[in-house]
Amino acid sequence: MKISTAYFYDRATRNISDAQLRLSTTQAKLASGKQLAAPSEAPDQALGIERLRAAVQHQDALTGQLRSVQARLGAEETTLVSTNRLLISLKELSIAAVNDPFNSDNRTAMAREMTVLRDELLTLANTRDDRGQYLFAGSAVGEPPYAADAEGRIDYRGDQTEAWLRSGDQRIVRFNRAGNDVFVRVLRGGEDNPVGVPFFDVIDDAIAAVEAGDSGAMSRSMGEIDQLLRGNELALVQTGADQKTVENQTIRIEDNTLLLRGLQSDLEDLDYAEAIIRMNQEMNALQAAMTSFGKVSQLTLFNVIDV
Amino acid sequence: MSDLLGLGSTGVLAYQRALTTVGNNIANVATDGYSRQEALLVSMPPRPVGTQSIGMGVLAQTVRRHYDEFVESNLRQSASNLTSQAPLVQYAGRVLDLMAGQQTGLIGAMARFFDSARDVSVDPASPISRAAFLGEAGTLATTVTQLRARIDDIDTETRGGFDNAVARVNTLAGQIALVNRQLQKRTELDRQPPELLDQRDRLLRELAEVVKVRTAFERNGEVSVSLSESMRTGLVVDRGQAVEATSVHTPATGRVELQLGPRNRRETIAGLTGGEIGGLLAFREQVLAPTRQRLDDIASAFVEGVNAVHRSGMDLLGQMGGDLFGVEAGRSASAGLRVLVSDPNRVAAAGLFRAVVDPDNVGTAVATVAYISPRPEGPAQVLDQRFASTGLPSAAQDVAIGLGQQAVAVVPAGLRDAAVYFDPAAGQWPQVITREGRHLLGSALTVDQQRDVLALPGMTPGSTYSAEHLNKGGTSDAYLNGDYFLGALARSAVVPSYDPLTGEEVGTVVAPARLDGGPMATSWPAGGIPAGALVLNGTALPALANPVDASGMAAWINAHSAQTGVTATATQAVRLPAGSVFALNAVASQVTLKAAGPGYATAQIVTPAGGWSSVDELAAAINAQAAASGVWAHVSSHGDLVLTNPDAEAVTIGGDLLATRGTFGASLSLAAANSDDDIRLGLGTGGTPDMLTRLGLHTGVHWLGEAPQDLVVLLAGEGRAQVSAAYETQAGFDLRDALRAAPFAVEFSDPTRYRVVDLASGSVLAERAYDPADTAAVIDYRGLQLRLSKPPLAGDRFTIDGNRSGVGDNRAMLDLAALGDADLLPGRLTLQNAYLQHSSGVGNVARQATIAEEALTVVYQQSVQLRENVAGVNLDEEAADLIRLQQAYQASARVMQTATTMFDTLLQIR
Repeated sequence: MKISTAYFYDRATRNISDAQLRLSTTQAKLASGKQLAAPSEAPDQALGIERLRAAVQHQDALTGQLRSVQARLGAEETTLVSTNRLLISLKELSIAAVNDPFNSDNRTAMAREMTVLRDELLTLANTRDDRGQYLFAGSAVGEPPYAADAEGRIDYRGDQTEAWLRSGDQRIVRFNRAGNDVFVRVLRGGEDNPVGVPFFDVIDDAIAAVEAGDSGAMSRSMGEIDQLLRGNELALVQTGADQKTVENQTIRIEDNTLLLRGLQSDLEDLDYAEAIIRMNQEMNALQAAMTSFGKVSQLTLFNVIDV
Repeated sequence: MSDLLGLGSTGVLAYQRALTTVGNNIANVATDGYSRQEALLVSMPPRPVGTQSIGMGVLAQTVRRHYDEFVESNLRQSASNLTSQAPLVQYAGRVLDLMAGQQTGLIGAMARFFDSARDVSVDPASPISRAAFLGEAGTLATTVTQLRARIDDIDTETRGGFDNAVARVNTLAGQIALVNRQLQKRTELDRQPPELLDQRDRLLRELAEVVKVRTAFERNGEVSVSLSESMRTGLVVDRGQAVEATSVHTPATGRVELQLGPRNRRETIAGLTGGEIGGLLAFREQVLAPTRQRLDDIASAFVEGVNAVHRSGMDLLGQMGGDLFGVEAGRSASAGLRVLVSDPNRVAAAGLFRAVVDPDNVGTAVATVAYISPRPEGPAQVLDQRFASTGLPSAAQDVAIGLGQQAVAVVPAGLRDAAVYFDPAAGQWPQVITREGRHLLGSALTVDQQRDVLALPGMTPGSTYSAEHLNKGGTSDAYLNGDYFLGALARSAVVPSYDPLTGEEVGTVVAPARLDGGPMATSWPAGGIPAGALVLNGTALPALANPVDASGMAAWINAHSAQTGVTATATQAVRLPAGSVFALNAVASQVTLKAAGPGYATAQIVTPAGGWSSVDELAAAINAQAAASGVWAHVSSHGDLVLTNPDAEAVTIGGDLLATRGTFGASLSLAAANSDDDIRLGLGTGGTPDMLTRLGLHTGVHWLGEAPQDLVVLLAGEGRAQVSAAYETQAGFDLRDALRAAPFAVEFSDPTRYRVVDLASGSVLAERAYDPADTAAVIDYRGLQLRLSKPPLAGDRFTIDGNRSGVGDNRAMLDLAALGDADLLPGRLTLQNAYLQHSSGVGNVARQATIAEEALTVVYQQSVQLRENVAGVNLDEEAADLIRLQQAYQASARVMQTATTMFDTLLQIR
């Protein structure tokens, strides 16, 4: 078997150019810091990188959404705390009204004080968040949830539709409030024939009872205001629990993000140590190919014979 | 001596020739496709001398070309196989770079779109997150169309590559044919110039790199080349002739093909493999076409899924959402993907319906509502093509009624000015009832009848009967404040008016209402029409003893024109079309005519001996006896014979001259005086629908205006009926919009019963029982399904409306965000998974092609090496030959010198 001169040179140059190609690819990867110069080099790996990137982006978006929900819950909590203080004052006034027999001037003054508290409660019930949306309107966030009708009674104009966010595979977080879950109604009329009395009606009735000096009505109002306070406290507890849930979810998402970023880096980023070793290896191979070519190509019979 | 000289000279010549050959080899050491040549030295034929032979020297006979056909053909094969992988590697790699690229691929864009949907769901009332959502939607659409455009670019490129390759095939085939023609000059392979054969082989090898070929060699070295499996078809080079190859592209299917042959006789070559052409075709078939198809599949599934969710949502303006994405007409789903909504306010994030709990409910049940399109059973809708939309008796559907109530048709919600006509016979009563058992028109039902009606298919299960709004249409007690009516109805109409001189339409004018009846019955049951049985425009009409007399009837109605605003006229005209008169010259035939009423006697008109010469003559003969019979005749412009009676009495026709015989009643026409008034002739106490039929009036049930919900139309009684319908279409009507515009409340009077009440009118829409113990109980009203979290208490109230103020609701947007994880594609694949699966498939093709390429490169190099072993030039080998031949040359020259010396010696003997 012989090797033709043409094939000999051809093979040598092919080997050298292959070695050069490998070396320059490694060099490019070292410069970019990425394992893959193009997805076609390792298709499954490239697709895995894309999928992880999307997952990380999803976790980031979720973090932002939870932050927004947390802000909303914070605003609710602040308002509910203020409401709580007002209801406590109202309760104290109603207890005082029952226990101490007042004369009519004092009663008028007390009624006025209670009216002021009621008006403040109405303002709080119509609180808006930083985006101008009403906090306690359910999903009807564009209009004030509490407004007076033709006779001056305050009704709830909002709804109870829940808005929630899916924060994990199985977990949901509710982030809006229906007014009548916070400003609760009271049942009046006993076991047999209960009737629902709305929040502000209860307070208005209490004010009327104080003005009129009706001690039976005042006793009843005292009990009812206590129920209003309890309803408010329950709502406060619920908000607190929701905030805790969101906090826990945020932490879990942070951990998850870290994990995903790690996986992404494994697939995407270059292992410098391995790459540098490989580059040295390829440089040696190239050098050897070139040197050996140089030596072997000098060998020709024409140099030896004397023609 | 001369022998020696001769011998020497043969040597010199021969070795000179051999050296030339070696020099040729050395000169061609770098020539591509050169086969090493060798001078073949043979001994000259010996000369016999006595009994021995003396050698005559050496002869360089031929130059042998070092060549092995098997090795050569192997080389061609492996070259074909190798080059076919390159397009796959290159182009599949490019497709993959596009699909998995961070900027160009869809994974990131789709994920960002669904993430921005979730951002909107956290803040639905804010225009900022909506604007961002529309932005991401636009970006996604652009990414999809760009990706598709880049892949279409690859399609164009590979098509161009294919065209170029076919052009190269033509060029090479032409050159091979040219070489063949040169080779034709000699008949033996040995005598062919080696350079020509080298050229032939080189051309064949180039052709093999373009497409796999099959070759057949002639004895003189000519070659025929075929592109298909056998040499019989697909010849591209037929010895000295090249066959033209053309590339053909079918835009509809995207296929490219190679066709061989002259313009009028082209054959398609299928199954091309190997070479660049094979690689391009394999790429187009295995990667390009499936990728485009998959992108279209994914895009269409995405558009359909998103639009379906978006259409069931409500936007910030309170309107129902429309399509969010669309596809440009005439383009495929991935190439024409567009966002159709540009106004952030029109992004539908909220649900269409909501349930609101009354704040002072005693119970603490929480209510949710969902809408599922209802599919009620029951009779066909009036829109069914069985009922023509004209109300004309001739277009009526014949229906058989059994005992009891026969459900005939349903007037669907949204139909305007619907009327169903019956022309009821005695004992038949049309009834209209809602699916919830609210009886609107007809006669009151007995308890047994109520039960039967509520059990009919199409009635809501659990509904109860109510006659609260029965026959109260148009009054303050009407159901839903609607205007509904049973009887004969005519309304004023807007008609075009014409200029009397030119006949052109000049405008419109309001024509007052007009009710034209058909022939009246000629007999009435005893008692006639009792007082108050018929009511005309609200006025109860007194008793009429003899309704058979049409003019008497007209006078009876006209007596109340002041209150009703309606005047009546009675006419009698029996129209006999021209063909219904017997042959005018039928002898001995006769016709008898008599008008009803006192003072008239039967007149007999006999055909004269020669027959009637014309219908006019017959008419004249009838008129001659008219005073006695009461029946006048004239001929209309169409040639019809018209028999009349001026008092609008019934006319009896007998005899055998006329095809028509019998008694014909007069007809009644009612006209309204005022162009604003309707004519409504309805029933009062004791009135029955067949009375109106006997008056020749078209009787039916009517709902004026838009039907607010499905109305079930029944016919009670026995016998047969002719049912037809008239209505205006419901184009533009949407059931959900109608439901949203009519909010209602569900009120629990006690925990086991509830009523559904329309808020606008206060009408009770339905009343049903409720089982508090059933935890999965659903209150379903026309597709709206209300669920309560706890059993309700007495007095609890829940309102269902169109959610217009619920701008903070995010139900629709949550559904949209959930589409990202939904199995939208067959095989239980989400959008992302389908995309990944396909990209992975493309990656596999690229990987396999790369591996194949590496393996085939090794095989190819081995083939090259084998060829070079046979036909390649090695300089060292040539150097050695050079020395050998040079020495031989010198030796032969020496021989010649020796011969010359010997000769000189011989010459010097003298």
